[in-house]
Amino acid sequence: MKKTIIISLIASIAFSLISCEGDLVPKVSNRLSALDFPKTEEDYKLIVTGVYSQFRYDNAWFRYSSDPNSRLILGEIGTDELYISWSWCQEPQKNFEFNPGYDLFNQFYNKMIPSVTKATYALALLSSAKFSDETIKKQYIAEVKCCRAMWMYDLEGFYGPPPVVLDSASVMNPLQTYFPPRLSDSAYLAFLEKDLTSAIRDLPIQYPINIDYGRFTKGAAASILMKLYMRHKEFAKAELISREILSYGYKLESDYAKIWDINNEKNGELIFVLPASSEEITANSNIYRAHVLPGDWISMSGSKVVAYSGYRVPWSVYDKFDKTDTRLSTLFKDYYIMKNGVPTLVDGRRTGRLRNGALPLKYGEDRKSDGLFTGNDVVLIRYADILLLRAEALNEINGLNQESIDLINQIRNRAFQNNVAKLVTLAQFTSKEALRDYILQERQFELLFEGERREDLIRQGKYIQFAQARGVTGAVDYKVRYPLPSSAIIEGQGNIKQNDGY
Amino acid sequence: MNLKKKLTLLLSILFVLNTFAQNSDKNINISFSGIPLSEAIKRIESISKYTFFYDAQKIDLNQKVSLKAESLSIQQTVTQLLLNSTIKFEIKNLQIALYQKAGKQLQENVKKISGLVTDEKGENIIGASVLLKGSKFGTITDFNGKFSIEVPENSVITVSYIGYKQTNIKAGILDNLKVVLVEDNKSLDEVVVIGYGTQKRSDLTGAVSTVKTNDLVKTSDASISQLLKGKAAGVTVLSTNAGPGGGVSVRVRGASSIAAGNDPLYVIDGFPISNAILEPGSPTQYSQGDRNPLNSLNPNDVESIEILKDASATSIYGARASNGVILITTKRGNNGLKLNYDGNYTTQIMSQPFKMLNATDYMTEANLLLHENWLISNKFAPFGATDPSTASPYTPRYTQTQIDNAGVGTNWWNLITRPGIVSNHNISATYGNDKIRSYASLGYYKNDGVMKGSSLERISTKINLDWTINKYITTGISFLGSVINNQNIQAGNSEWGTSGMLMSALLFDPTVSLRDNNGKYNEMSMYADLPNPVSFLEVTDNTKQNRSMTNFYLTLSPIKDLSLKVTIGDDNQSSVRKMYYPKTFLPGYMKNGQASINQINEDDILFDVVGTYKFDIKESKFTTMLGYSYQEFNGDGYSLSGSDYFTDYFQYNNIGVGTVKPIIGSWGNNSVLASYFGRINYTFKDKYLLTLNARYDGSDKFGVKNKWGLFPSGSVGWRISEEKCMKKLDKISNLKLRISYGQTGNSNIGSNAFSFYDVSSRYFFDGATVSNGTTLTQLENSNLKWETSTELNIGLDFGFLKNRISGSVEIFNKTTSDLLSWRNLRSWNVVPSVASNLGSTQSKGVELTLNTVNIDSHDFKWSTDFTFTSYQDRWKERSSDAVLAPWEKTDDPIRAVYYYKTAGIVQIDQTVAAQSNAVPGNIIVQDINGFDSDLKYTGKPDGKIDQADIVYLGNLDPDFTIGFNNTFKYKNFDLNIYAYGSFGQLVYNAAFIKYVAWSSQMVDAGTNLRVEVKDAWSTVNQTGIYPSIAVNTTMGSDAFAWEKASFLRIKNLTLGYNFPKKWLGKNISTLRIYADVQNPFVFSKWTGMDPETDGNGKAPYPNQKSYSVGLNLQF
Repeated sequence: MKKTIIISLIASIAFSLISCEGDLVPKVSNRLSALDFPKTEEDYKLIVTGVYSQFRYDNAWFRYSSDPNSRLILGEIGTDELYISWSWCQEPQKNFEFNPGYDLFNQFYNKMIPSVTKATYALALLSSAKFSDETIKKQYIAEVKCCRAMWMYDLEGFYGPPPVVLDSASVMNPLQTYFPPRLSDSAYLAFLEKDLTSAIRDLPIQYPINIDYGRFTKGAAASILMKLYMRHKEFAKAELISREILSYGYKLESDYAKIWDINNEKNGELIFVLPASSEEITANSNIYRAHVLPGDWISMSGSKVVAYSGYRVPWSVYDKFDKTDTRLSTLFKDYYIMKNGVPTLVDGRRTGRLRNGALPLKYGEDRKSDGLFTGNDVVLIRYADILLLRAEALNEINGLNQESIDLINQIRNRAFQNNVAKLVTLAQFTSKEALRDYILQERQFELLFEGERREDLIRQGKYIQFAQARGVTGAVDYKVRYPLPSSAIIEGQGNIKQNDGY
Repeated sequence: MNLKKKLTLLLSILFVLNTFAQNSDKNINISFSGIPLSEAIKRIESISKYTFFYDAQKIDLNQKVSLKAESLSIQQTVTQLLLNSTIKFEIKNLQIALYQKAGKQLQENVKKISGLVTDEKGENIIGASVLLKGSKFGTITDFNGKFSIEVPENSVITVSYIGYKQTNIKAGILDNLKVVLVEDNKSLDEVVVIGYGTQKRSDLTGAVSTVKTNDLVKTSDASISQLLKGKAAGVTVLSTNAGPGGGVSVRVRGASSIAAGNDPLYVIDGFPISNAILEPGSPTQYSQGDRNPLNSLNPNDVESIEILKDASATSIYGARASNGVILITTKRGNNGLKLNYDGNYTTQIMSQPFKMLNATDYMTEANLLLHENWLISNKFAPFGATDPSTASPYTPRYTQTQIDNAGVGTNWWNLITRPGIVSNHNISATYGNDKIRSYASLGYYKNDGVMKGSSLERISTKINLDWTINKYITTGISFLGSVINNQNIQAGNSEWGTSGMLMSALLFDPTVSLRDNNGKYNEMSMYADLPNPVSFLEVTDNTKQNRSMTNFYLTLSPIKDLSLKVTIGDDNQSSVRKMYYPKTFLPGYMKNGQASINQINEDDILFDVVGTYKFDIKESKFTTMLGYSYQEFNGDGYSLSGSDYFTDYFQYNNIGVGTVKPIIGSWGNNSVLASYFGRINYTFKDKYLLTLNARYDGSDKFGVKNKWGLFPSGSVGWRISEEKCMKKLDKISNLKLRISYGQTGNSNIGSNAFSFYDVSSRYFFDGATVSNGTTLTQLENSNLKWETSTELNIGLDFGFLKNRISGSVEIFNKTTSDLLSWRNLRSWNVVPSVASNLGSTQSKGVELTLNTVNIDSHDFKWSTDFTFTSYQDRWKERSSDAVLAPWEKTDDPIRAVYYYKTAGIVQIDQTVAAQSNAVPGNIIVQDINGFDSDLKYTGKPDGKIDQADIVYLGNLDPDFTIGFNNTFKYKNFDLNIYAYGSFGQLVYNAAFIKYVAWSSQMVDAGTNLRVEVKDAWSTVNQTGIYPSIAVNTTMGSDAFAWEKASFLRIKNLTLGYNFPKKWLGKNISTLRIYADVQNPFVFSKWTGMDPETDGNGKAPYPNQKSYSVGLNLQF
């Protein structure tokens, strides 16, 4: 009896005292709580890297990559130099069927619009951060501005000035519904001009240590600004800023094919690249080759091959090349296949496997790669592009002029390995228009399949015209801009207007 | 916190007070004088655990007795009580039998009768009560099921035992009387397990379905949930993966949650288990298919399953209960010793594999399709008016000689499939006496699946021990241990170069042979990225899952109707996946060997205190329960992966040797749930029933402003058949109306209430140096809380003709509000959404259970069980900021399908206004509507196919599901036919699109096609019903792949034979042999392999027909 009473008493008391749960304070062990982050300079460095990572983010697809939704292919769609083997994206390419419901035009928009906001958010955080060294803080701010400017430059090229979140008040107040405006062309340019000008001021020409290679520099910032001026036909300003770029010490790589060689990374021609690693799979690798190689391609060096058999450069473009042009070495017609157990070189144009065009292969093999993810740095801006743009700007400002000719010859001299017979002379050209057309063609030879062709054609008013000439009935004027995704229009509830025509 | 404190105080007062009103074994303290014997008996019964037995006709209960007991034993107490009477007594266990001191006359007529009580299987029943009819005089059977009793000559004795039908025997035979009790499953006195207690079914006011596992055919299925299909009304169980131990979706009364999950809460022997799925991923694109989280529990160890459906039944589980609660009760010990063996062996054959083209047909079809392609691309007639002489002529890919010599080629599917085998052995022992009862089992289950390389092997053990220390203290332990070895196959929906084994076998060119002259696996020359299907078998990939679940309890029963139970439990699970891709396997070759080890651990701790007290006030009976529960969930895991190995020899056993930098990762999280809960059951005159429940739950996952939530419910019941006027109606044996209303929650909201930066992005400055990057990924919502479901349930239980027809009908209306969802902050925001409680959904449904005994003759019995479940989940209120697509309506079904509609195939010379590029053989997509520039419908076709033409097609949920079970017994034979079905659900036939409709891709890549491609439209087959090879980029041209996947499946056909007892000798109590066919027939119009498991898969694991033989032996 007594024992039972005691046991029951103890149980009852225990019962009345139990409260194992404490205050129910949440514990999370593998994420950073916004309550105490960011605080230190190291924290802000992570925030800046987080902004850079928007170029690739969580996978190697959709953004600054090589799939059909990427910046690269969106820069080629509708031009003469692209054929895509996958019917869902070849159809818009072939017939100018630009549907607001297509993934093809949605992915880049849906990924990069929030990236712009994230950069704006990082800038808001940085602006109130305390740094012991103000130059570091300025550099961080400049870098983030450049990331944002680059994305905004590309978004504008595809969709016209898009609705982007640029002011820090709205970005820090995410719970309030905010519809970003679509700026006018000139206001958009003015905004970027201001950002980039301050960035050029605060960035170094080069970083003292290798470990920072891949960050934005004065040259990269100035190049974006120059391209922006070119798009907006501010040729005088473009010419002015290109002079700065010329002063930063870039030079043309002597061997054209080596620009993209994995063993020749960080060469002097590269202005801005996305560094890639063959060790880290997915997010930070270059997946270009797999998108091009045909299914029966074999590697003579024993490199691994993944072949999606996607992109081709139509033979009409291939045939325009001078056969002695070394730039043809990155456009393949012949390749090895396994025939009865023996590697055999075949002409793909004859076998029919390449019936739709040649293989644009600027990025070479990476022996360490698993075939898909290669370590070749993704080249976004290079010096040859700037030189040709400067030649174009000078022609637009001054008409025929010797400096433009000299700039073109720098490019051709390399392409034809100092064969003077292949250089051009001022006398060759009869008019400003003739030189303009020549530069457009030279840019195609030089920058083939680098995502520049669509921009070049639009700048010169020939994007729709050329397509119509190829017999594309769907090519009508308003299609110089891609449509905004329908989802953005629906979400905008009347506050975001679709591009004209769609 | 106030409420919590009050509850605690109340509880402690209740228990402290009660401690003083108790008694113990040896010391009886009671005093009275001059009261009737009947009253004295009541008083003694109330303070002790003893029960009096007597024949009321023989004993004068009105005689006055007195007693003054101070610390007396029961023997002394009763002796003193009956000192001056003519009554003698006998104490046996806890029973006190009273006899009239025999007069001469009486003694002559009394005869001693002895006998044995068994059940239908011949097993002895221990503790059955044997009473002289109409009296309280009698005895109970002993450990051998035997009894002996002295009764007047020719009197009738009544034998009864809980769960069996009562039997009356005329005591003609005096010795070795054989009494066989027949099981009474539908007994209203059946005890039903409910949350934190048990209740008689007749007293239930909530909606609870019970499934007794005796009725389930436990042959080839690995988990208990697969056995539940169609077995309980209100529970929709469908398989999602037909592989060994494959996943099952279990939905109790629909799926009303949008984002917080719809899985019910499982409670195993009182331990609410976490629904965490312990499935370590792999660093590759291959999926191993989803698995059932209950695989660790051997179905043979389960005694019964109770499904709590309405709020009255579930709200005792509060914030986790809104998806229903499934209580699993395992077998426990009984008195006596019993050994049981149940074993069976099953062969599985694929029921309906995809039929792919053989080599000859493949070449012929490829040539035909390429010719069509040539006509189309050159715009030759009928695809255009180009002059055929202007283009290069068509050259077939395969020459006639090649075709003639091709034969059937390689059947890749056959090379990776086999007959499946299941072997299943279970041994269990129960042993017990009045102090200790124990159950121990060992189970072995192995299923080698029909796809080579897929298997599941389980070794499981269950030990349940209950120990009555004395009449005040009972303690015990439940232990479940299991080890599962899964061999995984490389499956999944990844395509082309990353195709899994099944898809690769479907795609691979039938003209290619298995290996080349060097023994290397052949590749497809046109598509060298696609791994050879058979080379997948070189991969080592296994997942080992361990679980040990231990529950310790201690029950204190200081007085008769009060108990205080403390439970401490631990559920410890781990799952480790080890994988190696050798160089002989293409993806392994690409990485030069790839190894990985991934592990997930989950350790949940439970501490429960539950007090129960029963008391009566006149005709009112009360049962009250109060409790506290604390549960902790701790999860963590890690992953390692390496590649580039100089040898395949190490596999995953020496990961560090790889020369590429290994990838490692780890994570951890934990959360806490604390709860206070209580229940009052009240019955008046056994006719009017009332139940009140409440639970108060606190969780650290909720936002800081909403740490605690209260979930109350109430229900009433009216046993109409107990009313006097109804009792006269012979044909109605049971009629009960139940109404319940209450609230439950769904707290599965993750750690979404807080603001975080994730270190989830990296950047490689310099191309080599890793820099971590971080981004704000989540915003805080301090108001975030559980979802709340408010449910009204009306149920009617009925039984007619002595319960030969019985069942229940339930209707329910459940509104789930404060849905966990993401408030749309617009995609352009820094974080596009914030977790919020927004909107509500509504589930309405009807359930019917009908059990009939159609024939019940001596030799032949036929009974039928039918269940019908129908529910609809709809949006009730969308979040105020939700932006609906123009084709969505605010109250659409939750899992609505919106898509285009097709209208047949373009014929020659037919023009389609909205598809200007259409060519003959293309699918026509219906132009239904148009948009203006603001995306508003114009209301008429606009001559183009765009999103304006999207319409509501249907629902992914079935309209209704049924279960239909028939049992026949003829003498010693029994036959069971069990079917279930699901009707009205839409399923996307992805495999059809891939291997038939997209023939152009396949022909380009040189991959195989399904035989149905012969029925595709072409210029030589203009009556073809499937689209031609012509590329159709019109949006929605795949819409015809949405099909209704209604089906009715015969799940089991089981024939059993029980050997007659007389053949078996003394030691064997039961010998049963049986044969079972699973899935012999499916009735469905579905055009894929299997309407249930095809899902969205392009290469789903094939379903099987299984043939089993089994043996059950009991000693």
